[in-house]
Amino acid sequence: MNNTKTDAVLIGGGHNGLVAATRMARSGMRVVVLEANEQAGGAARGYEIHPGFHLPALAHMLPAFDRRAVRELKLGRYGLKPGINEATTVSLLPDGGNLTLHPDADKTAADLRAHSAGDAEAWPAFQRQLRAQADALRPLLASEVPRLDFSDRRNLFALGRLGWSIRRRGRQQMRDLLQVVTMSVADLLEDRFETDAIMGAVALDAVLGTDHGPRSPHTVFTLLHRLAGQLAPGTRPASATGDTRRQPVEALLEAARAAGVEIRTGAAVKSIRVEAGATRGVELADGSTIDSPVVVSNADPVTTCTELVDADHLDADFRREVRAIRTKGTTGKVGFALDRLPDLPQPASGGPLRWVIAPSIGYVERAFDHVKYGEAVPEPALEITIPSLDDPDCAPSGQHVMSVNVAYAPYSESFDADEMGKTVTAMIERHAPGFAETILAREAWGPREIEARFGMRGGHWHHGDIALDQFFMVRPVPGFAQYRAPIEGLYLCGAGTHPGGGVTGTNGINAARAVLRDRRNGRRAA
Amino acid sequence: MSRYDAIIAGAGHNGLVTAAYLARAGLKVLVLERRSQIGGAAYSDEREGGYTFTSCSYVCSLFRPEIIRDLQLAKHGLQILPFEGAVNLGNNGDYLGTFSDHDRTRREIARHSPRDAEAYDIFAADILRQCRFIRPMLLESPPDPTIGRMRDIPDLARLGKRFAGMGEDAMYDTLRLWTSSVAAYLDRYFESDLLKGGLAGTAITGTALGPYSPGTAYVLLHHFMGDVDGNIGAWGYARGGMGSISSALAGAVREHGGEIRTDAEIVEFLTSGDDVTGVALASGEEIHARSVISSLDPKRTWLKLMPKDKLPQRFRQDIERYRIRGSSGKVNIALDRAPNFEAIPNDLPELNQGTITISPNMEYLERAYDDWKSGTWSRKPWLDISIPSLIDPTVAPDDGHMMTVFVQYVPPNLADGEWTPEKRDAFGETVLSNIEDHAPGFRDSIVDLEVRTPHELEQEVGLTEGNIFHGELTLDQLFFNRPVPGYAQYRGPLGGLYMCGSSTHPGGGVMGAPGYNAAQEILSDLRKKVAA
Repeated sequence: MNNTKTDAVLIGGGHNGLVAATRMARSGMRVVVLEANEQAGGAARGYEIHPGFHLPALAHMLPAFDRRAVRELKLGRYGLKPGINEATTVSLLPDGGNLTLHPDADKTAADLRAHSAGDAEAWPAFQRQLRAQADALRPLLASEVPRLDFSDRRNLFALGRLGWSIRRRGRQQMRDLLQVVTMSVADLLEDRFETDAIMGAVALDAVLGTDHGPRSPHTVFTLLHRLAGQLAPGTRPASATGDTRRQPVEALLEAARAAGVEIRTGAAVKSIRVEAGATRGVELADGSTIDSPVVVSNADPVTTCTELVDADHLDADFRREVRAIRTKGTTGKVGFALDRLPDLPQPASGGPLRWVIAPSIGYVERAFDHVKYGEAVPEPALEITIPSLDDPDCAPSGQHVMSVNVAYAPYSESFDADEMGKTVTAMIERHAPGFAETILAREAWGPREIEARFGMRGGHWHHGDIALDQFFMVRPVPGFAQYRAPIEGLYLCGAGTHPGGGVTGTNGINAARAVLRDRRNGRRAA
Repeated sequence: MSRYDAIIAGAGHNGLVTAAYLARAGLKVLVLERRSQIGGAAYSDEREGGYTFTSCSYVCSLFRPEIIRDLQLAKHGLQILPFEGAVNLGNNGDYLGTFSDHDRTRREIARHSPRDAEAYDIFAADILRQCRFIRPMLLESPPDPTIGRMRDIPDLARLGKRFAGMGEDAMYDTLRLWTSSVAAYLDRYFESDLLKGGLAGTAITGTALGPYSPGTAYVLLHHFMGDVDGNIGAWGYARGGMGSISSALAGAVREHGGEIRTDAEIVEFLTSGDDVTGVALASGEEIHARSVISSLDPKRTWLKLMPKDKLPQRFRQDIERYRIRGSSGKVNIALDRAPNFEAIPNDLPELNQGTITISPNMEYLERAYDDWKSGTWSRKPWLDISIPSLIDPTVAPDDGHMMTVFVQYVPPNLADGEWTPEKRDAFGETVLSNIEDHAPGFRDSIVDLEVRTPHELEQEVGLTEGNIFHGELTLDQLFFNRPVPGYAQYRGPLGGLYMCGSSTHPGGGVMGAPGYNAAQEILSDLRKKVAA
């Protein structure tokens, strides 16, 4: 097959790419998805760490999927389950004890009483406040992004609507939000609590996956960003390590095929063809070409604009902006295939469990103080899940798989991911004696390994750091937050666009809408 | 027990500015100062041998020219001597000079990196555009977008219009300037470590943040938005030390009939119902006034001097949470000869005359910040060294020089306990040996030495936690959030008590803007009362 013609090419079959492709196909476009790896799904797919043992690749706790995607792609029909249960978090403490953060804030408060009466009193109100603030942010995350171009009144109205969506929750709420959103999560917590263990656990949630420490300003924003991605309006916070974990990708693949999307794997793209300022299609690594007036890239913006597009087609300012996007990944990943269940505390919860090792704010901050210089972290913070507890199909009966996110791991040449694997093993052994002997297989990835495996620049899960100066109207590049690249017919749909990463499919749906809107307005006739 | 129109608590520069404007408007004004000298952190300390230490504050740029004109401070002895150059020293004997002449600076940058020289033009233009946007906001009360008060709506509309008028690209630049770390912001433009280290240093003074911390970029504006005699971005020394600003202000206060009393410590604000009616002094004396204006930081104002039961609960909690964090140290030195900074070429003497910083690169600063976080003073601190006597003959005898050193980062308390005289001396030792590394022989020329840790700055000068700004300059404590949300327009929850210090908009640094803005609000309230 040397040359094909189609209506749209999707570079990369990650979850956002699949969402965008399916949405466009359901509107009647012929769409071809080109995935470089042997399997589509990107970082949201599973992999077999050991014969018979399956692990999620990166994201091991999933937020609620974008409701528009679920509705418009009819994902429920293909197996995506809507309701997901909130996880219970067990914070493992250095003295061997633990503190449980239950989905029910009052239950957590009861446990906290043993540590601090004041903290027990403050916790439920704090949780309510956080959720209310995440609720207030959600319209911002879900919506498309206006430009600061007021010659188009729609931008002004869109900004006004967003401002009103926050203001209408009440003056005090707005005032509180405007004040705390730029604070550090450490300050937010230390103003209210004294128990190190509870503060460490919340602090980890704020910084995991970002290039920040808990004392960095704006980490209340990153915390709310994470919480808002996890909440459907009005329902309880939820995350899934249950059987919906592998579902989004599987459901998406089925929905895509049913809509007529052609998915080619092992099909790496070499370049995006551009003529006279507009896309013509792509050239693949194997030399074949595809003609298409629309090209949507699920790859990160830096890869897309500096590797797949020839420099001549982008002006110098834009190129400079793209190169300045901070994509340095800071999260490591360790996966295990285990002969039996580790001896970790398992509170009866009815929902998924995760364990964290983040005994204090200072502990997490000290870990960050290493990674910011590109150094390995001797005592990292960990987020641990055992996917096989919720999904027995992950491993043979009685055996298990474990997935660990590591805060932090540096993106540097000298970093030894295996050493990190050993460190993590020793840390878990301290809390679950006998753990090391049960290991049948272990895989450890630092940001460099993640970059190589998934093609994401810097090994950064969000394709670009989540930070206030790389968010909303300036993500990925100022003036280009609307999923369109400066080349006609070229779009971006991956985590490097608004609202960032997290397996929600929001980027994909918004990008598809931009493509379809442009088609309707005659910007790019097929 | 005479009745005044206004009592100002604290004779720091902002208190004096407020007092002068109120007196000029015809009010009967009394300034009460706890210490024996006025000026707060802007005072000149006369020492033995003809040396004058510019005790805390040491350089001038941000002081509002409007105030200098309105109060005719030149007539009262204020003279700012601009410096022609400044320099940043690296680790390996290298230096990067900046000059009051933009082209000279550009050529000097080109010596390090031709690419950076090109970028410097763009950087300077971008920063200047941001300064122009900010400057009108300095002498205005901050409008509050969360209240929806009638008075705020036209102000917000005007602000929005000015913002939009910058053009789309500049608006995004503004958003990023206000949210980026100074490291990320500078990395966009420059590659040279010395250039970035030099600029980043100005962004972390008085903060509890490192250059990699988000929210440090806009502090660069402080460095560029002042002026001396209309020369934007220029810095200078107040002739006679920074105390001459305070004494000029005191002259203006007295010229308009205001009174200033020192050794008069206020121990409580007097109230009647929900109104403040005066002050009670340590001596037992009570003085009444229609308005009381506090230039002290909000914790002292509201938690120390206000009766407990008078404050709304939410307000009290917000004040308790207000962060006065980001402590600094100061070392003042009398020398019997000029130091010889080896890296500075002999044919560029002007580079000695402005600030000499030791800030080799941004990682150096971040590691110094890490030291502070772990509860110790930085062993390789950021040093901002000035030798004002090189251009101001009044602060040292003919055969000597006065050196003043500002140090970041120094914690208010140490991990192993409180500051003691021994630890203070050890800290001083760190500073001196770091300077000696760059200016061999300097230590032998020391004839008088004063080392001030945050402990001294708090105890003696009244700077809580040794923070020079009366509160961190981060977005959650700026503009309509300063000092706390809902009370950012110089008034508190009680009638008759106003705030005018650095803990109000637009923040710290020797600007005088908070004092000016507070005075305008007070006069406006009085006019309304008269009209009613």
